[in-house]
Amino acid sequence: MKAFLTATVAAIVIAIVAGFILKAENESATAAFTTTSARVSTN
Amino acid sequence: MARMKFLLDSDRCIECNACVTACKNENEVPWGINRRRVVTLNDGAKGEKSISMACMHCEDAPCMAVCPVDCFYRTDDGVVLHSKDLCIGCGYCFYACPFGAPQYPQVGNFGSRGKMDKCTFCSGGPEDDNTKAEYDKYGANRLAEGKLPLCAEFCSTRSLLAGDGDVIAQIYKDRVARRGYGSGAWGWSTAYKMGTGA
Amino acid sequence: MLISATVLLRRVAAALLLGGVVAFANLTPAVAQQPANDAALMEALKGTLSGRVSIPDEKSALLQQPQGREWREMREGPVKSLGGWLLVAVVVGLCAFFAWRGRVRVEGGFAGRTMERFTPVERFTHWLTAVSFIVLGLSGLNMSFGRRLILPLIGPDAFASLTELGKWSHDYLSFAFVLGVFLMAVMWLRYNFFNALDAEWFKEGGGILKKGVHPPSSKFNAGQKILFWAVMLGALVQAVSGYMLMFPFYFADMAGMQLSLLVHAVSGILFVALILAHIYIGTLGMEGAFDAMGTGQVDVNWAREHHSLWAKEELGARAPGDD
Repeated sequence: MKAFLTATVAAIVIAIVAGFILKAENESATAAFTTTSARVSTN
Repeated sequence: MARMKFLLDSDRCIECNACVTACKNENEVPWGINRRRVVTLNDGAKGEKSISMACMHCEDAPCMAVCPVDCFYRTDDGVVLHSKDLCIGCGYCFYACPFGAPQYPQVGNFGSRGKMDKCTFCSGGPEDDNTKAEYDKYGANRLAEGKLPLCAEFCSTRSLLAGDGDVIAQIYKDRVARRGYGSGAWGWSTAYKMGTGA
Repeated sequence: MLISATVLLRRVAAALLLGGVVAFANLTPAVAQQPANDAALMEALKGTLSGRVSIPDEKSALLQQPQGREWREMREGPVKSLGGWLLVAVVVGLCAFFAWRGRVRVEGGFAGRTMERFTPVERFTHWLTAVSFIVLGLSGLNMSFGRRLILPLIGPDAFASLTELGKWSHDYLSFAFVLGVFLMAVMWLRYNFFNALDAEWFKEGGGILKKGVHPPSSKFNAGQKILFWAVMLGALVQAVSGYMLMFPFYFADMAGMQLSLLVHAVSGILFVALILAHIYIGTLGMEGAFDAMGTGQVDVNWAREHHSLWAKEELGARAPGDD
């Protein structure tokens, strides 16, 4: 029982951590495809 | 009842990008999202052709068919729209679309690509017509005001035609007859079952 | 015994690169020769066509990809119908088998004494993999079948929320699943090589078809070994195709992405079918089997009947006269 519960918690924790890391990496299309000459408004 | 379509006369398109600019401005399309784009074939060579592409509002829309949450719908005018509230940003519509119409505000999929955005034929979305809520999400709703999409209105050479499919097909046919040549209504055989007959 | 993060990362990167290379090499369609005259252009315009754009996003240069229609036909057609009916067939088949054979009992009766079959680390690894797989499987099946089966029941708003939650869980739990499978490989690889004993085991049908038949087996019997390798292969295929999907157009072009999705869907359905059978045999199908992963302690008679060689070795290793 303990192994099962520990594993479930571990799975959730790994998922949350992965989520944070990848979300931080995710770029908006505006940021990804802006060229240096473009003035992008921030609204 | 009108069946709305776009028709791009590739013999007239001069790649001025007025259609792109009009769409971006009218619908406040953010940088990085390209509802309408102009693609040039044989650039700089003999037989150069430019084609302005947004969404073809297909008859048996592949995007509608593959969406896992069924967020697409078709209006009485034949315009293919979708609900950004239901959209989960999975990107399947982009894989299915023969024309690359769907656009996404985020680059990766890991945080989700964000809500899909595409050409609405200046026809808004599920929100009530011409409300701020509709404009913020989907852009202008010109059709509800009795107007046609701004891209076609702005086209400097009248290459991009928008309106009832039969009407614009006839315009194109007359044009081809008068000038003696035409590469055809590009994309029509892919998007619609009957083509132009041109 | 946990592997270092760098080795894990290198393994994953290698698998991804392999997937990407294969995708590019085999699947990039030949872009139509840009034709010089109108008639040729009309012909070319029916195919895959790319041009020049002034937009930084390379994807916008792809003007037309009619293969999207084939992809749609494949996914909405054979993948969903064959895949769906396969899963139904597996469930029906398992019910039928249970109705005919019933639960496989410990024929000598329980001894009342137990021995350790799986350590806490082994059980943790199994459950990490299993719990992740359940969520991955359900959310994955929902992407294919939810629209038809669940949407009519709960309505579009609830269904979209559920599917979105499923998508996020699916993407992020994949890492837990991959880690679990990797640990399993490290822990159990050496017990899963095939030998002559396995041929014997197969010849006797693993003993599942008739009472009183108990071919000898070591820690894992031949059926379990097959499952092990199937899981390794399935997880590899799912991970490679899955990460190609999660990093769209990083490793593959349009054709590569479309293939990844088809592979991921088909392989996923097959994987679920396999694991349904595994769950059956480990719970309902065999008396005394669940304890192995539940508490880690199995009844000595169960062990002697179903894993005789392993039991003999383990029991012999303890103080003599223990049994």
